[in-house]
Amino acid sequence: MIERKVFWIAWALVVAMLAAAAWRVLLLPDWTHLPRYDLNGAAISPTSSAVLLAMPGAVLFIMARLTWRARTASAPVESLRPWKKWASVVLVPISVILTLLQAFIIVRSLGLLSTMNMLPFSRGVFAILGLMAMVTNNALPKLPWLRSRVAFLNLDPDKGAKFLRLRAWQEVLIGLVVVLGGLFLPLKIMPPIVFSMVIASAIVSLAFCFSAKHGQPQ
Amino acid sequence: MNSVFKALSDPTRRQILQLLRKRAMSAGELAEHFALSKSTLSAHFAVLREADLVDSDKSGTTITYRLKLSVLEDALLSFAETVGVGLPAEPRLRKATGKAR
Repeated sequence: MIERKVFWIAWALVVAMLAAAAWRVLLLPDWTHLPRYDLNGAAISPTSSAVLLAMPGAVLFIMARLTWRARTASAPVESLRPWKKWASVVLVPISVILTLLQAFIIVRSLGLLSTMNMLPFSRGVFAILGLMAMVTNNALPKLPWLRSRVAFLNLDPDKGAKFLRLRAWQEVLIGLVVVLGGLFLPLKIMPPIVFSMVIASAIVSLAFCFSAKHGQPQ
Repeated sequence: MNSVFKALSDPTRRQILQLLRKRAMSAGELAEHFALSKSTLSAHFAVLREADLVDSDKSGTTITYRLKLSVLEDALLSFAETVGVGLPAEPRLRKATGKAR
């Protein structure tokens, strides 16, 4: 599912993020905690060093999901081609953005850029991630449905296309909420909003697959 | 994007897309829903294909059409249907006021 060049670019960025995390941890007196600083540059309660694994973990999760989808697909090679293109459009920008975020976290933990106002920056990050979700998932229904070896996802082409449309609408709406919420709502309430929307969309998708499987002739 | 607007501006082409929303259909099945000549319908299919809004699959003499709308194009289709783009003024007004059949 992932083009070779894109695969290696994403891997290189993951390795760079992990190397930077290891380097930062080695410099810490207590490797379990990452220092944080307030707007005046004074140290505040540290955060867990595990935060340094979140960005490479997210890239690896996306790569694993795309690879799993390709491995379980029972489709001719031509059907995989548009998916490979789409995966490249998704993976490269996300990997680059998450690598930049990782760099930002490490730089901040070193006490640099500590006077920078985090609110506009955080709102900008939400807006960019939301826009990315909207742009990449907008084209999802244009891709051919891949029959899956996983029985639950082995829908006929008509229902598969409907499922892709449903997923795309859900993801674009979540992206829109992330953009608007990130820009205009208090940021504290954004994680629970996004989390509940992701869970709700997963439940709706599962319900769709279930009803489609039971409604289609075998 | 111009070709998408052109394709969605015509009520017949929008009706074709609405029919394809339910399931993939052959050209013959789609033709049953319209009182139009084959050549006129073929021209509509060509416009939809050019705008990349439908996918066609030829097996033997049968051409099967499938919907291929992005989320944005889907939203534009719904908007054009609601507003009644391309309809003469009177039906558009009826549609907007909810008096259409």
